[in-house]
Amino acid sequence: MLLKMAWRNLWRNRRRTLLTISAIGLGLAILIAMVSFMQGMMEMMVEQIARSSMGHIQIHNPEYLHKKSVKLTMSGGSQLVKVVEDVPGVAYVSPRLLFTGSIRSSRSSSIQVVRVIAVDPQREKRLSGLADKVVEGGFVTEPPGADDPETPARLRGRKGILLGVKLAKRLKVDLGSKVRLDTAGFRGSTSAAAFYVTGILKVGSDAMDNGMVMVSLKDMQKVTGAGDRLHELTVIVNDVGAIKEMVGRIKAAIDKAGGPAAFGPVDVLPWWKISPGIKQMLDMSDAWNGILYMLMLAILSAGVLTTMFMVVYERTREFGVRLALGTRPGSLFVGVMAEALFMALLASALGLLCGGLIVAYLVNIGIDMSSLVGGWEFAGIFFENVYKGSYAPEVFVEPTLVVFIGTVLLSLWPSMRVARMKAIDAIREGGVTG
Amino acid sequence: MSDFVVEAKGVTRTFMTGDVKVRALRGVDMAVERGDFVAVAGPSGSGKTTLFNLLGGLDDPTDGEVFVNGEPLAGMNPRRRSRLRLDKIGFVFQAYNLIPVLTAYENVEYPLILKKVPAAQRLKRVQELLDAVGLGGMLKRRPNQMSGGQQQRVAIARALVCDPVMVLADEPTANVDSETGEALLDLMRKLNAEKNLTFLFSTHDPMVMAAARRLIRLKDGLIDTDVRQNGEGVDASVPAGA
Ligand SMILES: Nc1ncnc2c1ncn2[C@@H]1O[C@H](COP(=O)(O)OP(=O)(O)O)[C@@H](O)[C@H]1O
Ligand SMILES: [Mg+2]
Repeated sequence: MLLKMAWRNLWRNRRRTLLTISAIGLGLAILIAMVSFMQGMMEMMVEQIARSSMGHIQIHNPEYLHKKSVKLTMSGGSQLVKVVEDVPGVAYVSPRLLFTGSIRSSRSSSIQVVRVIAVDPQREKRLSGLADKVVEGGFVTEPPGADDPETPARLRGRKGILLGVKLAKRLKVDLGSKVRLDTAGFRGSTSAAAFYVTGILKVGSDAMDNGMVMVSLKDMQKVTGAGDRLHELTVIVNDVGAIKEMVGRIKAAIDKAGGPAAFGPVDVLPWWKISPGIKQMLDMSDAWNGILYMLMLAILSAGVLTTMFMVVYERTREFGVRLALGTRPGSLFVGVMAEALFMALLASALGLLCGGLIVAYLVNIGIDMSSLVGGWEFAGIFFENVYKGSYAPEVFVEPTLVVFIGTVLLSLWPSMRVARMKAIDAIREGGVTG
Repeated sequence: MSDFVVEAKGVTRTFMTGDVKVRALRGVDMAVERGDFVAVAGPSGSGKTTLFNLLGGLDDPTDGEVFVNGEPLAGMNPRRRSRLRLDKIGFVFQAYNLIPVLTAYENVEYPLILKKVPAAQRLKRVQELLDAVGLGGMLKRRPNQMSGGQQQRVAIARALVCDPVMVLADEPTANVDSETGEALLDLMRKLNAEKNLTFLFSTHDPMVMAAARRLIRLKDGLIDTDVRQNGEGVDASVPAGA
């Protein structure tokens, strides 16, 4: 009976009810879409961070990060790789040597300063997405007996180098061309060697396409005299939510395997310690989500409170009559709450439906921002042009719960007002008595 | 125990509006016998509604006591009082009596649902009462699909549905034309005669006053005259004390 009355009351002022429901529903849809979009961006960023050279966790000589000196290495590299790889929860590991170098070719007079990243090709491939960005040739190869089927036969057995399209153009080189790379060394103050272009890569960012080359770790260890030393060990873990814990586990494993005596001093850091800028950005997007929620609650309060107080006002006389007949105040309260509940249900359903459609579009097609910002870089990490939404369940659940619970809670106020009405006052205020 | 269905003893009611005291009732003594057909008359502002609210337990007197069916209302908690209204008193107000989203049938059924009467009994009772007020064919109409007179008939049916000891009708005919008012009055008189049901109604319409068997005139919150008449149009100016 109460529910039946609440449902009919809802449709007594059809236009107002529809208006309120659509306002709340569309607000919810927009909230869902925005949250999905932000979430998608965050997921993309974390994914990019993982797939960039950064990974989830990095291991260095403690002084390396701020001094960036070539001499600040970790020793026992190959053992360190094995130790870390064996820690449960670690997905991939990539050992690296990092240099600043200069590169030139006989075909051009231009000398380019580049970042030289020496990697273990098989391990690096699994960890970073760069292998997918190779447009000509293959990824970094490892002589002797390099057997990457993507590498042209004539190049096998030579020190290979992977470089960006822009750099290749500037040096006027293509696949198979010889380049000379000078870097700091460990034996003397410098080292130099010839490399052959085995792959050309196109990422879309200047730092990558013009300012970086990749070579094999083994080659570089030989050329520079670094031996088994490493500058950096990058780790990807299985559970992104457990990075903090994994840092501890890796530290423990390293200590158990010999610690400083075996590897020299090492420091294990999560990505947000290495690039606080990105962490800040992600936190900012949380704050942005907070603002969106506040806005939604403002729309909600305005919509729900005006509607529900109008309902209470219009029906004052009816409430008075019902009280006079012997209705309990509690059931008037339940009736008004039921009406709010119906409204919340309908608005949530509408919001979920419309929000779902927008999210489907965001997830499947996305928004191409290239005309606005182009591919962009932040803290050395390159981000994509096309932003896609996320369809993680929380994208729907949280906004809907906020709206639903918000509507119900806000309705408590007008409902309580009704429950406290006195029959005679309500009948008087409700009008027309002599 | 007396056979008075409702009794007021030395009842006063004073309202405070800001600093102004309004003495709506200044000492009313009256008792209504079972089966009587009583009109309370008086100009607007004389205290009719205030008196009816006190007799119906919707309000408390500033001074004095009210008894319904011999039971004192003073000190009765809101829950019991609301139950008493449901069981013992039928209310008919001046207008907008009905719950707009409910049909005629459902409006009459409403008090029975509050009393948790089983559905089969409800069906029989509601049908019977709507037939009695001449609306047997309008069960499914909503209030906005009925005339003012029809709405008041539904309100009367609803007032009777729980077998009350009395019906309190505050100006039931004030918002309908005189013909409809007369028909409503005939209906009440018929129900009074057939079921020995006590009616108390207020009015400022001489024609309605003339229909009562007892006429109480209120003036400035006091009973001015209280006369018995045959209910067929006796001169209403005959003084009390017969
Ligand atoms: N709730 C109230 N607050 C203040 N004054 C009131 C209230 N109810 C009634 N009155 C006053 O009491 C007097 C009697 O009113 P009422 O009983 O409604 O008279 P009637 O029904 O005969 O027209 C009037 O002067 C009215 O203004
Ligand atoms: Mg009145």
